[in-house]
Amino acid sequence: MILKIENLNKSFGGLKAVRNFNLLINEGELCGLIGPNGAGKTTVFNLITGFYKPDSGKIIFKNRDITNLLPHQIVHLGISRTFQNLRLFNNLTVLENLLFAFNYQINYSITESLFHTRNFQKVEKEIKEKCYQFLKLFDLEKKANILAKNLPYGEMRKLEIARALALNPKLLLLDEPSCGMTVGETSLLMDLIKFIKEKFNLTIFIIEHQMRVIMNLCKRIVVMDFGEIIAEGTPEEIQNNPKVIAAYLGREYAFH
Amino acid sequence: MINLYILQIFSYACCITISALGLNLIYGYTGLFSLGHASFMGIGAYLSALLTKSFSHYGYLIYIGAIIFSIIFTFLISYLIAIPILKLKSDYLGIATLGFGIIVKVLLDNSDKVFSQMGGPRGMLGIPNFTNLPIVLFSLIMVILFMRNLIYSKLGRNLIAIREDENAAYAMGINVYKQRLLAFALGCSFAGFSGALYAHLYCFLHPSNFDFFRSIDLMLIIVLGGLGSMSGTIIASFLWVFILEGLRVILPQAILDWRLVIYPLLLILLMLLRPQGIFGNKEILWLKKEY
Repeated sequence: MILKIENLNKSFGGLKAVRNFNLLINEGELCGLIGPNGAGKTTVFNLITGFYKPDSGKIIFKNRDITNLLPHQIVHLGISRTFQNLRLFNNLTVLENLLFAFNYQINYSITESLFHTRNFQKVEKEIKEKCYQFLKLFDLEKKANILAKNLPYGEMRKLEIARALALNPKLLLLDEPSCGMTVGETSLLMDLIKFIKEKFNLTIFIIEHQMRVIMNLCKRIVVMDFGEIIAEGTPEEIQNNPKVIAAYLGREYAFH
Repeated sequence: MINLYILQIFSYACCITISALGLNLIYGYTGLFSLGHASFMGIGAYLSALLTKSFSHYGYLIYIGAIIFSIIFTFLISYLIAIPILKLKSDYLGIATLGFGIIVKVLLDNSDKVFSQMGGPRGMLGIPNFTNLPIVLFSLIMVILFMRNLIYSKLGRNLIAIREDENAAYAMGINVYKQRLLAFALGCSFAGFSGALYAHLYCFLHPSNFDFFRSIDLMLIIVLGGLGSMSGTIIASFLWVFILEGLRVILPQAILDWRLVIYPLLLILLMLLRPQGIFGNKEILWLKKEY
């Protein structure tokens, strides 16, 4: 068990965005989180990654309580994420976007960077090589010096995933990675997710709207509606669960 | 005679460049809107002048000591101030730094009640003339070198990440608040350095040299040069100083006061033609990035 969430609650004013949220994620699992718009899926991600502070409840990552840690501390422990509406450094190049992900793993001192000492140059060179390895892996090396905002949409998504992986995470949170992609791009994305999971030995927790993606990728799916978990199980169980059908299609359809 | 005058203007331009580079680190690279930069220059200037005036028999030794002390002191004081005010963002931060600038100005205006040597509103006189062209030039080159090395290291990349997208910076594992504090204090210590040089260049200090309008001048310089461009800041500082002084020489006596009209008109024109500043965020020569 890599992540354990107990009784998580979060409200914004009068709106209960997440209530009594309990979840276990095992190591090496690829777990999906689905639900209608506004169900609170992204809020759960923001709570796990420290962007929001929960009102009550506990988040335990690898036997460590991370409930009240700051976002950057959580990254250091090995949880990284992508965002629903892309948060690349748009005015920087593809290479720089990746380079920035290595910042927290660099440990030369300020004095060393002031004088650009031999150790500094060695570390910088290693990082650049690592960046190119990542670019190669994601088939972006030809675009290394293009500004991130000038990439096609599918490649932006790819770059964001590459950047999250460069942080060397144990748990990767993907927030609607196929959002805005064509059918072809989505198929490539599914292959990519399977590939990186094996290659980097990851646990992945994924929010997804496209049923094709989620049913194909995940062995276990959690369904949320109005801030609560309404169902949990294998893709087949979820597809036939009346509560889930009610949440998605309305109550009338579910019981006919 | 004219040569001496030009040399002094040149030295002054070097001082301004150091200070403007500091502000570029704060606003251009990190995106912290600061309108009180000149006050940190003032702190450095008055502090170092007080030291050299009080211990003038030590000569250059106390001069160097005073400069180092001003740099460290402005670093520490700006760090302490930044702890509460960097919780604010964008325009609100601008107002807070503006407030700090005004406090410093008022303190300097009334400084003679505590330290009579500081002269208060009459200005501080009799500061030994230690700063000369080789010293400012050497200082400027060192500052540019250090800044370049910092920008193209982990620290510089952290700051640029914060400027580009704060949330993405968090997601990259960057301690945003701490890096902001560091950037602010570093930038202000540049101003302290430049103030200490300035004080021993003209041998006269007045609180109005470090008021709100001087802060605005610095802000203008970095916007003109291009935010996040060291080359731009350097060129814009020199242009700014030399155009202001040059108009004084070129224009006939009768319309001399019009230079303060001509100069803003030039600014407006430049902003219309090149809103991203002279250099945008590009660099020239060895200031270019290595990746």
